[in-house]
Amino acid sequence: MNRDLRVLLAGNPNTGKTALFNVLTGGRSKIGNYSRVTVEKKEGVCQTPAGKQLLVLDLPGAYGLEGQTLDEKLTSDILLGRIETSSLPECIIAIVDASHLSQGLGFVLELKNLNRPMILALNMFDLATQRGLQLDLKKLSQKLGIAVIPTIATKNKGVLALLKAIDELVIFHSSRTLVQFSKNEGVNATRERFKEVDRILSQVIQKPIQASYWTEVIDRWVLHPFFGFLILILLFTLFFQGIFLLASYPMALIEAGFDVLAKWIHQLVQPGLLQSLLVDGILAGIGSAISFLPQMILLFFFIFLMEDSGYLPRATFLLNRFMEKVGLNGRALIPLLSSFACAIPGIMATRTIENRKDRLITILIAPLMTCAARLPVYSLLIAAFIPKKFFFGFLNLQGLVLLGLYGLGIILSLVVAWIFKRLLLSELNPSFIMELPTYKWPNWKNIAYELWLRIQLFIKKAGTLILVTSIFLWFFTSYPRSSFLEDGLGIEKSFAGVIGKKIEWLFRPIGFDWRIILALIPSFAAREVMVSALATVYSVEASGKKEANFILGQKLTEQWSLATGMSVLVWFVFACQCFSTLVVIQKETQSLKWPMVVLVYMSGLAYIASFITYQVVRRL
Amino acid sequence: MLKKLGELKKEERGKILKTCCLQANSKIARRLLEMGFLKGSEVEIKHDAPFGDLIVVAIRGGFIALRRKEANLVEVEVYE
Repeated sequence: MNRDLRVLLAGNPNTGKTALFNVLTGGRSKIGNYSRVTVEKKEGVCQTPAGKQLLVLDLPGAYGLEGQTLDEKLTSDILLGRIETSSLPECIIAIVDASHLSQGLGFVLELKNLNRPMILALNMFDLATQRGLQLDLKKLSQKLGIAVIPTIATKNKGVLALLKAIDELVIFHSSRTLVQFSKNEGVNATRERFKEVDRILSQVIQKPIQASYWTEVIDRWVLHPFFGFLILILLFTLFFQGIFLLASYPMALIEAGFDVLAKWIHQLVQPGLLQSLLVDGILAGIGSAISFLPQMILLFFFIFLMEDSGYLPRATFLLNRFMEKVGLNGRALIPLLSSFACAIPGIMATRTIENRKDRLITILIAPLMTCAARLPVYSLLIAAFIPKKFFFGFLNLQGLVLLGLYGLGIILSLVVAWIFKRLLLSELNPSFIMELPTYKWPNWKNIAYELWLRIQLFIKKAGTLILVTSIFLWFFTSYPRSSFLEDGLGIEKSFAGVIGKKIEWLFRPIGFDWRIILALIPSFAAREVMVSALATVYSVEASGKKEANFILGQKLTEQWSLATGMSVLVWFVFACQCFSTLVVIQKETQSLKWPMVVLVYMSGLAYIASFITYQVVRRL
Repeated sequence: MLKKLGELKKEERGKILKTCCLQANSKIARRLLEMGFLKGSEVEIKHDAPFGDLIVVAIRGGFIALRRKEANLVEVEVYE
């Protein structure tokens, strides 16, 4: 489609930029990748009242054009026309939090130097006026020399006025003239710029803003040396408990849905190769992947909730000291927390860490966090090998083991971080300056929208990577087809079986036989494949998935020793059974070295840990 | 009384006199300026991280968490 204008949304972090983007584009946007730097890019389209077609680009939040973090660097590179140039004429919508005028306007003045048509959106205007701010908008517009539009993105207010203002802009091609602009203006220039902001503000502000009353009251508890930690622990307990409790219902629903689908195919397609491929290959693979989608959605939901309301920066403040002790940057908290859902968004979230080495360490340990993809494997093996025992009437042994697996991952990640910190000789205390935004009611629409984007990405993964591995797995375990198939010996003679047997000697010390190796190979693409892979290997045939998992559990109990079961569990805590993680690490570090380092250290760790587990449990 | 911002105790308030700009710290100084640590801004230490060197400073209607070490680049006239 023809576009008339490219609109760059630029502003400080926490200004509601993404909310404005979502309102402007009405959800018609997509996450893509920037050329050259593979960083998530948000792009959408919208139309002005005069009928101009806009291509809107949501830039990562920044405080200046110097680019101190990777996110900021990306923003300044695009604004300066270094990457992602477009043949379209461009304009900038600068977004400023009306409650943080001086901070925002300092960036606006810097953006003005870029000499591009620009509009200022004073966002969250309602919150600022509630806190007593009164200012002369007309005068502000005069002083800045650009249109100033008050907006409330979350309530869809001021957006039309913003679009009208775009219609009134004088558009000219300016991207070619940008190159000479120097972004290293020096401290004195920055100081002068902010002095200028103060001069302007002193003329337009009629009544200054008051500090947010509620934020102060809440922070008195949340940042309290004792109660603050209590709240933190309570919240995180609730967080993980809630996920398991709430996710179990939709998970059952999804599994039931896939069962119906499988039965339906059984009726429609004649028994044979095609049926086997559809049911045992494709449906089993995708089904097991999709069934833990609810857990991932809930995890992301809680993280977005804490982020949107303004709690996460407080948690960072409280935990900073502990994280530094083991060699982590306080800002690593959010990426590591996201990694409990999935390491991929976690690794991408490390871009807000300024120090390069700190960021690298966070990337290296993120895959050790227990992600949602490990849970299907954990629940299968725990149900099969850990007795349902209760201590003191309420402590469930199975639950304790699960908790222990989470703990194992966390503790080892801290050890690994500590070691890498020494190996990489990172400076001990990089600077730490972080804004604590005022508390806000979470913007539900925004959260729903962000979740929807995650779901789309996930389903895309299930439809491509997992689909392909499922088909491959089915092929390698079904061919060459032999007459022994009926005796259950088919797999042993298949390609996969032959490979598994060839390398069995390597895994014998950790208690794995060729069947387990056979299931591990396809699960290297994604952990969640393991369950369906085991079902294929042990040729579990059942009409329903729930039933299938139960039968599989029984088979495993019969065929594996307790030591082997424990060994496989521990293996999944540490092993890097996720190809996508390695790809993302390669993209984010722009080198092949670091994904190799992750693969090697995680495999080594997994082997050693499984070896110890197997040998110890065997002798008990 | 003249003090460095990082030396202030919890609940002490003051007015910024100067934000230093040693070349070695230019990055940090710029970030401080961007966050509003300019001459004339009023500051108050709101919170003190337990076991740590982080503080929360109220400035220009907002709250900034930073290390005492970095806060020491800012000179403050402390209110009695």
